Amino acid sequence: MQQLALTRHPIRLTSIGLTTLVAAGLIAAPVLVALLTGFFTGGGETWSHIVSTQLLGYTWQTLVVLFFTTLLILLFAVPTAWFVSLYDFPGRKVFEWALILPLAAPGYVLSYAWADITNVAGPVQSLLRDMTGLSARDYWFPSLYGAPGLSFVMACALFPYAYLTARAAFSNLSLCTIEAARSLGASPARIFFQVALPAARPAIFAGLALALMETAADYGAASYLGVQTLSVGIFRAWHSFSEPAVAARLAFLLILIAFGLQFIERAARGRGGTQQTATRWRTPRRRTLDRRTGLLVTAGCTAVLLLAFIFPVSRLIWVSAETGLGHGQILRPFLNSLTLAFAGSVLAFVLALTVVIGARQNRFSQLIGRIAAGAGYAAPGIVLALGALFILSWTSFSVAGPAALVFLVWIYASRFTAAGAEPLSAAFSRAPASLGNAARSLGANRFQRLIRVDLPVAMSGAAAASIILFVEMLKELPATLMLRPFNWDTLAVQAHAYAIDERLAAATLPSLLITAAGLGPVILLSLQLTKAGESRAAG
Amino acid sequence: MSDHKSLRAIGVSRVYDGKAVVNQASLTLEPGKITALLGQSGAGKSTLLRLFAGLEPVDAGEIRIGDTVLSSVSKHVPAEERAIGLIFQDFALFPHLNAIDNVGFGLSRMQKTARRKLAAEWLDRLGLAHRAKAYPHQLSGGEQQRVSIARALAAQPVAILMDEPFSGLDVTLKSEVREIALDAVKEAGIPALLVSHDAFEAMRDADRIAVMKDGIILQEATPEYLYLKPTSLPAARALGPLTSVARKDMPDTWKAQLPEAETYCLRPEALRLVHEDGVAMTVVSSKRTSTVIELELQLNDATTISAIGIGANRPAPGDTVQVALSPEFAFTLPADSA
Amino acid sequence: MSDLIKKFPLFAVAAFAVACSPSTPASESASQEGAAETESAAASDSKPESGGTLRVYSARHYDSDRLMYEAFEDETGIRVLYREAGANQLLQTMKAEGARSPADLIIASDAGALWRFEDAGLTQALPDGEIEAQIPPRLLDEKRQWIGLSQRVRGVAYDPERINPEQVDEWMDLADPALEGEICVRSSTNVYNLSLMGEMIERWGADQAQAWADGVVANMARDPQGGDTDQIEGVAAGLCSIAITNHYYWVRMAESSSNSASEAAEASTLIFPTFGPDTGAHVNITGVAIAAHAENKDAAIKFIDWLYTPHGQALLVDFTKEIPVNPEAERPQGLDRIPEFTDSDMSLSVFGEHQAEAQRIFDEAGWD
Repeated sequence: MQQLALTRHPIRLTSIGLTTLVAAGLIAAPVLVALLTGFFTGGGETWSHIVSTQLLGYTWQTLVVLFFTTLLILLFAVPTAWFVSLYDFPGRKVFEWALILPLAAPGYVLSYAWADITNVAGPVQSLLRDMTGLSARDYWFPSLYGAPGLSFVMACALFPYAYLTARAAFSNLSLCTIEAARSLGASPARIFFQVALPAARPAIFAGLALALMETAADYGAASYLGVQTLSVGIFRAWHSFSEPAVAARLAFLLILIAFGLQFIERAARGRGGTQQTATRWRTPRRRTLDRRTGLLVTAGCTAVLLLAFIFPVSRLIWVSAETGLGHGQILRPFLNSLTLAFAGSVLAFVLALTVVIGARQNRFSQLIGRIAAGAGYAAPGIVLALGALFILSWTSFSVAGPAALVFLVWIYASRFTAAGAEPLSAAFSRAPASLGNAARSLGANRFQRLIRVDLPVAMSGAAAASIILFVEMLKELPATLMLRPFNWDTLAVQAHAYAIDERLAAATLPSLLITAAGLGPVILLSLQLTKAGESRAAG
Repeated sequence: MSDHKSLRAIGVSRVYDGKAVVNQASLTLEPGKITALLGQSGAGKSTLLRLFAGLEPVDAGEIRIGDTVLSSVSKHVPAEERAIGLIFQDFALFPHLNAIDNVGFGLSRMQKTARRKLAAEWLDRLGLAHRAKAYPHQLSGGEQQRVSIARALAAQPVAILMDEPFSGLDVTLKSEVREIALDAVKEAGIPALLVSHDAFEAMRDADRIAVMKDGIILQEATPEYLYLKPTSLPAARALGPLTSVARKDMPDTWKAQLPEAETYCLRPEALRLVHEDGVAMTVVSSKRTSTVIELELQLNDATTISAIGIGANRPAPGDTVQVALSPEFAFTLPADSA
Repeated sequence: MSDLIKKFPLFAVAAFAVACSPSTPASESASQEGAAETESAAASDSKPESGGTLRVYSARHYDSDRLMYEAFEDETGIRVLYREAGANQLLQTMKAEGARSPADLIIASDAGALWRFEDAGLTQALPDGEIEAQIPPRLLDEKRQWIGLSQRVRGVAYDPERINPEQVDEWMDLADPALEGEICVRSSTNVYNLSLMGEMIERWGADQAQAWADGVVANMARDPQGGDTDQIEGVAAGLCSIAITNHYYWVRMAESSSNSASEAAEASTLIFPTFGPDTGAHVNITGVAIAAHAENKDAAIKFIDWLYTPHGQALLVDFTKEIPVNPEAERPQGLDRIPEFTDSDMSLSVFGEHQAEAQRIFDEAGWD
């Protein structure tokens, strides 16, 4: 109570602040437990072994992957978003939503497919050898195994985050800004680089940061492609060395990197702020590109879509068709995936809402909410699962029992609340504070304001948030791998188990099903965002 | 409808980061009267409004409606329980509700049909019956503001507070909306506060004006009284232009018309052009506004003063004109007020 | 804390789990229906009498295992409940479950993995019995903590047009500088490589094992990547001439319905290198252990016995292409493709005991 007395409004802190505090605690507990246990348990010989031989390598590999992923994401996301938002060219309406589709396919699934396409016995190299008569030793061919390959796969899987934020930012550019620039004789290129890009930079960085944190936390693709990132190292410390404490220490480094990313992102937002006129804004009128440029842009968008989605998914379908379906169970894992993702999204959504609303009430809640959600998101699923395991081992719950299911839902929520809080808070911030005050003056209490004003106003953001949560949880692998109750194989776990057992054909069906399950929500999200953009343009 | 109570601030303060944004302000809003709170941006007007509304707690003093304390250091009735209507510059319409549902928002305790009927009546009163189904983004700025006023009044508030309600509108809309809106407010017979930075608007629209600067309410009175009998230079300046002239610089005929004082403040109306029997002065500059001619005259070697004239011929700079004094537009200020 | 308080959340959770479980179609097997029962059983502090039930923790992930459990159920009336996960996850799980672990039986591929369960005190000694009579003695752990059910041999698939068998008939040959740029091999983190290295450490000592790892790293055609299958494909595509692989990957490829896979296997020859004169190949196992806190020990032993019957053996290896240890068992289709090999006399416990050191040696050699 001491601190509370120091602040000016004890009444508010106790109600909203306490709720936020509880939510933040729920979100942050697994990370904190994992880290604290890591630091207060001796790592012993294994720790010094890892520090002397592996640590630098893990960190370096992670940074290299992040670097290349950044380049590729910017390359994939920004030009496509720019042309889709402001120009008309053949196929624009299709690309507008189709470029979001890769969100449905997890990085590890893309890595199975792309590894199969590009490996030495795969269709591309076989064709190359057949056509040229060369032997495999006579030419160099880029290998997917390694940091650049992993970066490529992760960029394919995650660039839509940056594409979405960039597209929103470009569409929100005020008409005046662009017309003013045009009237001053600026070429389209100059408008892009000197007007649009600086204005959209914070948004692009926000999407990029989201994608990069996912990349840093990835386990499935990195382990499949044999890239020794920190995430893989964490798994290895736990598996090969049976040293959860060492794993937790490695996790701390990963979290540092993720917080570094967040810091850079905040710094990039800068003081300039975004262009926002609270009441009304108009999307600039699209200009039709001339024939040649138009076709060029169409080709570019097509290439991105082929690389990130169509090629890999087609390859999986091909392999699956070639070898026929196994006699494995698929319905239960499918339903399990849906159930878990659904339960997780509901909890994460409630937590995200609590955090976002808390943040609107006072600074203190905003701070703890943001830190907790950030820490959860920054921590890879493995670390959170590790924390949950530590907690489980203190309690009398069985890891194998249904308690693990609840823990898994909790871990999902802890991991992804930030991903849900982001669009929610964006939607809330679009509503001016005077709305809340107006509602208060009309006698609506806090709960009524939430139900009658905040939620409906934030509806579009809330829908986007829940869809993103659902899809991300559908794809979640490492935490599920460590925590799932035993009869609760999910599609992700099944795909992973088959793939690492070198049975790609068996892995294709669960892989395709995850993608298919995610595709529906992603298309929904896509249409919703596209429609929102259009109605905005009309108003 | 006659039992409306006054809304009072009694010595209220609000402190941000050690700085008093509102400093011991006392102000009474009488039922059926529009009180304008006039001041420059940063004067603390909006904060005082928020204290009235209960959007922020007070750090000292009290807010009362009638004899009931709404805010004090130890008590804070939350905004949603005060039934005080608010009108914002940005209208603050709920974007997910159409006009009629926006108006009906504060009537949630009523039956649905009764609520819609009442909301429709209010829309009609503000001339918006035909826009009932329109969503905020389909309404013009003036229409949006009228919906927001209907929304506030429909809830039968005990007072209404308006924060720069018309500054978001362009000039042509402004007068149309202003009249409909203020008539509706007056008709409600409740205390009304109009926060404004525009003296012209405040004097025209308000029954009383309170001038605020640096968190302090300098003076509160009727527009006339404030204009002609301000008690301080900042208050005087807030209401309109003035020139201060030392008695020693005055022509003798004028000295005779004025009470003994060292310095006088003259509104432009204090000096008017006459055809004869005036004091002769040289025109420094002159320009015509729509209704009057504004003049700058050479009083003596060091001083110029403002005057106004009416007529078809505008004197050119360098011309000599005859000037007479209307002493009711001249006033003196306490020595310490500058 | 009262029992009620402790149990309450668990009951709530169990109810949730049941509510969320998709309704099981009547046609599905008892082993699935039993799953829900195990969950609720785990939810209560005291385990109910399970009578004719057996709870298996399996590190294998084969669809065909379901058929195996069902066959055992049909023959004995003992219901099998099973849970599949990675060996390490099973291990950590059992550690956390402690004495309340529902597991009766642990099945894991790789002696190194079984050794870890033993090392963590999660296993118990197999009773003296007729088991030994049926199998080679090497398959039984010295402390009787676990026992092999089937064999898996690590070997080399080489390109016969570029490599002579003598160049790869001993493991040490692979470190020969003459083979520079010829070897394709997977990452050192893989347990197959770790167990192989474990045997080398035991036979040769750490220094020579280190020299071997250094030599192989120098001979690699590319950085370690992919699985064993990918290495065989590397040989088929002409990228390298030697692939280190477990025998069953090669057999599965040869038997595959995909033409490119079977052609790839047929383009290479499988050989099982030895560790020097008078030694055998690197022979690993898929094995089984009785859990330390097994409730249904009799059923567990019955199941182990059954797995040694020709029928049980056939179901165990039919899909995996491992080598059955019962000579009377029908060998899986395609196994006749592999060459003869000298069985190993190396204690299987060695693979696990040297695991950490093996990883250190690989790391030291820069074998990713």
